[in-house]
Amino acid sequence: MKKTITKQLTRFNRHLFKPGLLLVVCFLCAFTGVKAQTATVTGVVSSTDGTLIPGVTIIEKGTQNATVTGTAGQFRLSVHPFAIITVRSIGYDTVDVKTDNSGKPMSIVMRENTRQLNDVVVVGYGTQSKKTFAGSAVVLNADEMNKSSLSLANMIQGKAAGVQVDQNNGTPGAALTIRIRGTNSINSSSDPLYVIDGFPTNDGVGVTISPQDIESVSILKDAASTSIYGARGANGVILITTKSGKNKKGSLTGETSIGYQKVSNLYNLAGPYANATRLNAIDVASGSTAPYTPGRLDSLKDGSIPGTNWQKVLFKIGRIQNSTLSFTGGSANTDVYGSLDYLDQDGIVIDSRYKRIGGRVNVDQKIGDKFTMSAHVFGYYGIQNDLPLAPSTINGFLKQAIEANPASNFGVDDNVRGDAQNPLYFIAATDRENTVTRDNGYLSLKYEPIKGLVFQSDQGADLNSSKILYFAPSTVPAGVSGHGLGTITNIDETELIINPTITYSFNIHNDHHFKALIGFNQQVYYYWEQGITATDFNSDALGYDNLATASQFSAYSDQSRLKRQSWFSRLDYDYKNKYIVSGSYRADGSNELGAGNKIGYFGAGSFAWRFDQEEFIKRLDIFSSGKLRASYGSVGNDRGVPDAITLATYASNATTSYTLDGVDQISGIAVTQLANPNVKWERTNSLDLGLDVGFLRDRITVEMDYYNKKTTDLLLDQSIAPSTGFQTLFGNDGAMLNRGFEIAVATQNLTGKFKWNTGFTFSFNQNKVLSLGSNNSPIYVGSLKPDGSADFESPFIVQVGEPINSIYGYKYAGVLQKGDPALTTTQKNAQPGDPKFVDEDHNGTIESGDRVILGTGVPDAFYGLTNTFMYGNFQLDIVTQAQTGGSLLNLMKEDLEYPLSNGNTLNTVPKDVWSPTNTSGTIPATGFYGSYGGWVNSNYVESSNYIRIKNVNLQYNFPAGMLKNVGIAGLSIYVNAQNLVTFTKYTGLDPEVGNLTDNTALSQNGGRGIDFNAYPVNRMYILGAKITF
Amino acid sequence: MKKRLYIITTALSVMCAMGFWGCEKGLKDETYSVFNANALTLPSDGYDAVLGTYAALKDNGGYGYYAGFLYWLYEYPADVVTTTITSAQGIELDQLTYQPSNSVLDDVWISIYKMVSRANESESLIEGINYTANGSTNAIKNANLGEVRFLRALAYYDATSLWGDVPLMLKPSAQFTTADLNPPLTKQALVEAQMVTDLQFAEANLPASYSADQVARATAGAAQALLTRLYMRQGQWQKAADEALKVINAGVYRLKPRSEGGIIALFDTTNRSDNEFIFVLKSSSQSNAYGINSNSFGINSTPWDLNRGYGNFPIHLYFYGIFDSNDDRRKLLTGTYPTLYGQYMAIPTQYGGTGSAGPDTVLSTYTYNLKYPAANNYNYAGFNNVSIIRYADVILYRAEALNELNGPTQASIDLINQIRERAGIADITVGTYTKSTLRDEIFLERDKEFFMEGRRREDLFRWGNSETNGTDPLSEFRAHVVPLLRNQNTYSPSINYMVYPYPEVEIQSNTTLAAMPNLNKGRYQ
Repeated sequence: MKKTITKQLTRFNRHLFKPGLLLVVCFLCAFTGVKAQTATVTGVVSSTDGTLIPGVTIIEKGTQNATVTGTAGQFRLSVHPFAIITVRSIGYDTVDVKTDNSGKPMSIVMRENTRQLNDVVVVGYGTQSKKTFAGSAVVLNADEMNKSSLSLANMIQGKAAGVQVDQNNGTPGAALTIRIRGTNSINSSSDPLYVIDGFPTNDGVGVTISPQDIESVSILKDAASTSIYGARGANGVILITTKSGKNKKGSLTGETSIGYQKVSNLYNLAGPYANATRLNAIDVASGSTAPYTPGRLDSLKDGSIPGTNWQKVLFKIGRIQNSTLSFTGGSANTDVYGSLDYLDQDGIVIDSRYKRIGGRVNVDQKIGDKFTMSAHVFGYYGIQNDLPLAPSTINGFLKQAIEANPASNFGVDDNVRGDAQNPLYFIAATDRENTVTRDNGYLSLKYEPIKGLVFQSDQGADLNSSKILYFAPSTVPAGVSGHGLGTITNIDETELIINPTITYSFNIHNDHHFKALIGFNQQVYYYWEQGITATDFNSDALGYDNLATASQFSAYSDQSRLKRQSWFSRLDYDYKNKYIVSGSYRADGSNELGAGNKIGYFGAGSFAWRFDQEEFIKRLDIFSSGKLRASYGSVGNDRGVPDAITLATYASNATTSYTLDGVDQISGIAVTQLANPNVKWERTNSLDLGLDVGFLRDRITVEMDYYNKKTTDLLLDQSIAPSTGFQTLFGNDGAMLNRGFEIAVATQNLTGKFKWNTGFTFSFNQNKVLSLGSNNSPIYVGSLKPDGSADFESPFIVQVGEPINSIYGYKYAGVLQKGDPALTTTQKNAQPGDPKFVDEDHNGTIESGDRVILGTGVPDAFYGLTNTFMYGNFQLDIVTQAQTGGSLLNLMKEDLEYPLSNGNTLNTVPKDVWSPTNTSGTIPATGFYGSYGGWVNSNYVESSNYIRIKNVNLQYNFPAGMLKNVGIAGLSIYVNAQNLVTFTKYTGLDPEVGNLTDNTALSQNGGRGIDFNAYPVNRMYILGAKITF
Repeated sequence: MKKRLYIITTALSVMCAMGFWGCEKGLKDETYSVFNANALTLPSDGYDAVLGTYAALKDNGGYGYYAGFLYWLYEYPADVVTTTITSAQGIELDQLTYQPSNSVLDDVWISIYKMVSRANESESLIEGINYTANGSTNAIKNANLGEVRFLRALAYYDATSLWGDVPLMLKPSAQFTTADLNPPLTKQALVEAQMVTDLQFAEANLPASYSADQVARATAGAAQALLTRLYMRQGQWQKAADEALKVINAGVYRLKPRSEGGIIALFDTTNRSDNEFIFVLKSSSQSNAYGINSNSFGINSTPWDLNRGYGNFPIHLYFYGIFDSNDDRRKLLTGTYPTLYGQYMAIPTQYGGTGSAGPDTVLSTYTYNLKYPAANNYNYAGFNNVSIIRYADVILYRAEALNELNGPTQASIDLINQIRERAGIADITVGTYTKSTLRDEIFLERDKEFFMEGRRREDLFRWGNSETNGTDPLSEFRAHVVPLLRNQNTYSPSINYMVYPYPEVEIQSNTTLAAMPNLNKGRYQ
């Protein structure tokens, strides 16, 4: 067998030798064609960022006379006097330059041509020519992405059709949510898979990778492209390629930027006197004493006690500083890229801060002709100081601060005075720090014994460790009962990867091109968490820095392992680059699934037809390029399976702890989850149909895709009757559909001295739940209860026939007036001044059956528009983003309009609350927290449509000639503004929220679209400079 | 060409083969931080499962089950505890306007069945453990079984008190069939028969008492006392009187005498255990117990302007007025106190309070109970004993049962006087009472003795039941509760207030219940 292969390969090698020979002959021709000339031109060629470009072809126009630039971009060529030279290089716009016969060295600047760089698509385990790529993918190079972004997700926001990026939370260092073609799962993660330089990475790439290190991003959307990643590709794949020093002269680049951010909107809140009067009235009506004496009320009224505008105290201007130092360089056999970056970002809320320090070294070394070694090492350290009570939680800090008593008037050191909590003291006294250390080390060995046959072995480790520190001193509510409360949580995640592959590419009769791949992948993921809670501190001074100052401790630890093994293969074939067929097949094994179901088999196929290559199309002379694509495939998902769900287990935790003597707490055991030994792979089958066309020499290109994805065997935490003792049963049941349409248009509107390019993306996605478990019971998502309300309500529902993230509640019909018929029919227990609701089910009373779907938390259409203008050395980019079709439950507004609130309210409340003497009031007398209906109702469900100028960047590149004398190869300066203007009818602070009631996969998939206590998205201005030596 | 294809085909077949046989070996599911059920084979594991079942009494801590919400359902609809206007969650229960979606109903239902489930799982686990072969005894095994069966009976007692007919679950989850995921309702009488079986087993196998470090465990006396309570609810007076007598004769329990501080000392937070308590929810006084082994009574009982409590259980002023001024039990209610804002709150004189005596005195609208005293500034971590059954209850049950059987007798008068003497008020004498007036006297005594201990709602039903020979169990409930409603129309004669509506959370996931068209008819307005 082995012998046969060797023989075969030898023959094949000979076959390939011919084109190589041809190439050498061509080169010789080029050089021998030189004739004697009368003028000599010299100079250097550099790119816009000042990098000197080797290997650029310089041809005297209309002749065969040519040369190629050297390693420092230098050239010398003898030409006719005043000849025009054409400067051409792959990846750059070709330029014609007139020579002046002065003998002075010329300085030629070439602009990178992004369209040509796009010619290559990084796909799973390799690259493909964009021309012959039959799948659906978006490729973005560094300079096409949003400028001055602080994270990868920010970079691609609004840039890729079918990719939705949401900033759920403006806390510095908070990750963004990325969804590719909608939400596939209910209880399993819908996050895409991130692959960095070929290594599939554990979740949470978010903020760890430095945006400056990214060379390009490929986003794979259809099953045919993602299925090679099998188990983990179901939600799309984001392939990140970091920079390398390939073909570049050694250069050192420093970039630094400073900026600031500020909140774009504030609530209009009631003043000290108005609020004090309202609180007095409530307390008296409740049978308590009025907290404000008449004298104090007078002082508040005349301003002798000024009170505090808490929003002004809390929201401040946040400073951002970002610096990167990077080195690129290479030789024929060695490519090196190294970088160090530092980011220091203050939040717009006092005491919130994020710092990142990251370093990367990428080295590729060729040893001889056949062997290549690549080592990529990455280290990251991040510190996040978020708020003492995380935003997006029910009683989070922002809500407490916004609703803090405006009549109180105290400094940072005061704690409780009379009736109020001082949020300033609260934030200053509570310590909170999250640190993350992440190290990636990847080693890749590549052996190419004969041309076309590549043995590659990738191995590496992703080490991620986080530490969450929290201390509440005995003077804040959380620390009162325990005399100080300190917690330390350590999470260690380790993922080890081994990934050998064999690739074999060959041609038959020049027209038949084949590429075959087989491989094996093993990833083992170790999770290890420990936590200590300490109470009874003898002093508030040291907190978590020395838990020995505490005397009561409780601790826990938690460990799990996830092991996946996969075998995969792919075969690509094309005939004359015109008819392209590709197929892949994968077997995936996961230890978390039930016996007999551990291995899942997934396959995909795609076909493309480049019709522009057909003679009859060419004759039409309409299309400059054209391709029809179709793909179908199946991918699996095993993320989100609870630990050991296939086994019968007893747990020991806080709910099994008890005390038999009123002092010592002892641990018992109990069954806390229903075992399911039959859990299997969740499967998504998807169809993609695409059309790519170009007109006018590709000055206009259009890419269109239709897709239809059906997920079956949903990993579902099915709601079951609580009388079983359990509320959910985890298993595979139910189905969901996502179908949609995407279009991306790129045009070069002006190509002269003044250049103007436009990119437009549109995506539409429709989500529908097809079935849910054996009883099709709806799943209620995000159970919560704002302070003061009667009921826990679930604002969202997952219901058959409806999209996930549906907002579910009552239809509001205004305030009940005296004599309203509803008082004697549908709302017999109500009083005038209560809210009136619509009896949707016509059963004669308002109860839970009257809830209907009031909107969808996730918009169905997204728009992105990028305009780039270039004139001389100036470049202006304007990115505009829009969304339509979504709704938000504006619970923050509802809470600020609660007339019986203990905290502050909107300033409209005293005037707008209904009372027997103010019957035209629009806010019900006791708000929406009463007996009938609920606080999830149509009065607070608003459209989240918006248009936003997301990113504006103006850059100036200093001319290379000017810098050369001072020894600088390139210098550019830029100003950048983010979230500059937003056009929306939404009445909250910002429509781009969607915070979650908790962080479970269920809430991430089905509980987005609630505006409550969110850390607002902010406006940012940045000034920066980049210098290359 | 052919050979090239051969290579590919071979490679692909090897691939596929690896896949198909690519064995699940090495992909075993393992547990690291939870116990594999198959490995739990020792008597100590059985004991741990018993502890896990006790832990269900407080569910997840904080407000769960006996740590709070259960007593919301027992106290609010009755005539002692009420709500302030800002307490929307309590108003629905207090003003009888609750609906199936009420979160407290949901919460208590879930907690009850969690305890049932833990009892069932533990029972099955303990039965499978060989105690004698592992250094223990079958007596201990049966005592462990007795404890979990006692807890199961207690859960079903609450379930039937609140809903009447309920699903009867007795299996561990390992034996669930598909049908068990949608359990039907079982008649209350059948559920009660199961409770009697469980309690009789517990009575026979549980010890009379435990050492001081284990006082929270169920005893034979606890089983007898709960059985007494069940027989009382059923109107089986002789059986009730007999069971109560067993508790009394056992001599394990007593009333905390006045010489030791009486009832006020009984409810003192520092009194961590007392042999007047027959069965309590224990909460830990350790500083890290908050939200795990704490209860919510302390923080909710008192108002903000007294000690920064939430004041969720205001008590009607008339209630303060029903006590003699020298009744110790009145000291467990707030009278006159200085407020946080430098004023004084006082009970008006017509209710027996001091009334307004100075410019800084404000007349209060409510009084508040002090049975669960504040432990500190914010009092977040209540570690009071939450009384489930205490000896005074058993004494008054026997007095009531004897009165129902024989009318006023010295035996029942003596029992009542034990309670009155301990409270520091004068004895009553047999001559002045008829069966009916003594019954009224007993319920008045119970009202004063057990306020905020979760008994009043059931007492009103039992009172009405005895008084009308079962024709109108709601008569006393109606007479006492309706005059206190803010809107009298929220009481409807077509509603049976003895049972709550089945909670939304159950109906929406239980196809058997969802298919019953009149499931909640007559249970809420």
